[in-house]
Amino acid sequence: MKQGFMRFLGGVNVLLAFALVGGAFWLYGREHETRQVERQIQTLQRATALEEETIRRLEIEWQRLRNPLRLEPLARLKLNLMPPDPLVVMPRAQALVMLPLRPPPVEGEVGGADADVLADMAAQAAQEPAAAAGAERMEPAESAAMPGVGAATDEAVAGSDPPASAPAARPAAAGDALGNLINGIMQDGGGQP
Amino acid sequence: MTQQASTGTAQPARHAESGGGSRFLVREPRARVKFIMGVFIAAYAVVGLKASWLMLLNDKPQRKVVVHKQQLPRPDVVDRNGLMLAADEPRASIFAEPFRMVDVDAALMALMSALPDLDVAKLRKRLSNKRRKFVWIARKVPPEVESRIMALGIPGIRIMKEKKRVYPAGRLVAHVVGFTDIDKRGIAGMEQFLDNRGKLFMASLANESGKEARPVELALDARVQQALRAELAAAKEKFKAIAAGGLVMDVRTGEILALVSLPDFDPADRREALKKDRLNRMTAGVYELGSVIKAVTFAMALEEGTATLEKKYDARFPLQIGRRKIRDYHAQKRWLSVPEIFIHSSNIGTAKMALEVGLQKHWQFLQRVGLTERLRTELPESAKPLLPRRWSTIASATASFGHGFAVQPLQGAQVIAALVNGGWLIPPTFLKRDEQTAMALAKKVISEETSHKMRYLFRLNAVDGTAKRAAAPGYRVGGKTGTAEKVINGRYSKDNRLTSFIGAFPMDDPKYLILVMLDDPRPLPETHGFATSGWNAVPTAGRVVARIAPLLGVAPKLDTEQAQKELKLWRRLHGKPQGSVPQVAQRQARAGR
Repeated sequence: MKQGFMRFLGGVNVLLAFALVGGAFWLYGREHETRQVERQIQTLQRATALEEETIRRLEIEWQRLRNPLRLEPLARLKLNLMPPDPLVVMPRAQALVMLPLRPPPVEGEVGGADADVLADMAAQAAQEPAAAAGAERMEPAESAAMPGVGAATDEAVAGSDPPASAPAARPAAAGDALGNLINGIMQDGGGQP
Repeated sequence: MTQQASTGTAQPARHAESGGGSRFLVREPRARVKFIMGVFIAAYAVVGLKASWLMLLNDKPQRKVVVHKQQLPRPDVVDRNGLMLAADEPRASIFAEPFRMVDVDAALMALMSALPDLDVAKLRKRLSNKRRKFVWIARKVPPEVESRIMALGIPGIRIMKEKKRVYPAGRLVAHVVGFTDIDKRGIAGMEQFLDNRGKLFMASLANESGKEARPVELALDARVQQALRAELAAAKEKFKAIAAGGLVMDVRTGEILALVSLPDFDPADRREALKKDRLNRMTAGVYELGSVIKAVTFAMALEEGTATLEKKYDARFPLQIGRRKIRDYHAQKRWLSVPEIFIHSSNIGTAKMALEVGLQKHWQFLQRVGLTERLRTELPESAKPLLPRRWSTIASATASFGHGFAVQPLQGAQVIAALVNGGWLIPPTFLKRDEQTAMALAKKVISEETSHKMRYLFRLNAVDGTAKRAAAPGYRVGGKTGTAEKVINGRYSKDNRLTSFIGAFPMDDPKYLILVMLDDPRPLPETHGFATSGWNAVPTAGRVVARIAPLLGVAPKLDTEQAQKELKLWRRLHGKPQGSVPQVAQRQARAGR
């Protein structure tokens, strides 16, 4: 009885020894893994820091390129641009009226609310015959071309989607010349030959 | 006694007992094992309990340690639309540890290939000293140089990450933004403001981690700044002026949208920046603004009620005060009404108006509008006004038309803004500000009614007076010209002038103020030999207004007769437009594409 108990204890002992060795291996394995992951984290952190630095550098570079001091001579030289003549600067609503007709939009493309707002603005502008007197003074070719410049200074005019209903009251002859021109430019991708 | 006796008797008994216990443990091995086990169990139980108490129950929140950072993160500086004007760029600095270096000459040869302008002789001497631990080779080099040096792999040469303050907008905003030294301490402009009086403001921009900061938003608009700078540079060149300056200010908030002083400097080149003629003329210099100051006198007289727009003054003869005689430049030699005095810029009439108000009240008014004290904005560069030493009748009379009394041009702009915006004197600022904050800081200096009259006078001067050539068609510019004779060798010179124009637009509801100043412009054939303000500063201001008004959302009103007249004059002065994109595109379209 007593001997059996001792043998049982011996068995437990051996078992525990194996468990210990096994546990040690497992623990060592875990630690190795952890270190590897740590190393990976470090590498990633370094890479992130490098990327952040690069992003920062590129952002500064971009801001350098955006500097108006640099852009003005370029715009004058390469694009033949110049500050807008007072005659072509006009309020947004008035510029909207001068915009040419577009082909009718595809069903459900233009949001109804937007279209209504734009139509209202156009109608309002048509009612007050404001500075149009100045614009009509110029030769037809010029007056057709110039409103584009004026409109560009008033952001969102060129960018917004004018619905077909909006420019109902525009001067037809001038608008169509400009319309053809804009359509032409849009079709061949920003006026590139 | 009895107690002592009792303890005396008890002691031997206890001895016997304890002696019996140890003998019991010696005699019984099982009991000994149990005892030792008990001790260990108790010890481990204590450790375990303490550990579980610490881990589970003792969950006291750790007190946050206040981090005192030596250096606050330096924020970027951006304009009101977010264009970056100053920023920290990561750069590498290269240093050597001489005690680790193997071959100094070989290392220097290798370094030369990446850094051609190295002071080799000096470095060789330093690097040869093996006791030295640290020598700078080059600081804040661009990334391509860094990678080349990394590739060289010279022993003892190492790289340290630093940040360099860079100015992407360069010269454009140099005077406002300023610059820092190599250790990123602000030396001039807003950069110095951030390190001194703006320290708290800078700290407020830092985020909680203390590593990053929100950008400083300036009131400047880079587009307006560019328009102003380009036109001023052109005018400076055309009239061969020594210097030019100008500013654009929002009259309702006191925000400075643009401030230019030419010649300017590249903020990356500290030596150029410290040259004497590169000072910020708009705040760090004081100038006799000349007739521009007349507007202040008019506002004072109208406010005090000693003059009305209908009142007439005798301007037939020069005004004699003591030994001094006050004459007119454009002498009319007749009785002039108040608006006539304004548009003919009559010194005699203005002096009479000032004397009518009285010495004391004149001085008080100058004090009220802040012309007698140094104007302080965020910029550290600010000059004290030069005032007459003794406030006498002659001093008051000459000061009424801006002689013998010099202020910062920005100060003049601040006052004129108050005269047209309904009478609110608002301290100018280079930081973004809203109207509410501005009104909280504002001080009422003249009544709404007087301000209204001043607007009328300013506009009248641009329609019929000396500021006719501003002529920005339809933008309703109004303003006052000033031509001061420069003091050369202690005397007023007849041939060297400082011309200026301060105006606002649109005059029916002024939003923006513009100031243009030219230092010593020369007469040209096309100005018919004149070099007064109306011939140079005024048309320059007109050009600036026509360029910036569309940017600022001010639309021209061309349907009036006056606008058409202005348009005609504009075409005569500046010619027809030469071309634009749609025209070019149309030409190409016509050519059969």
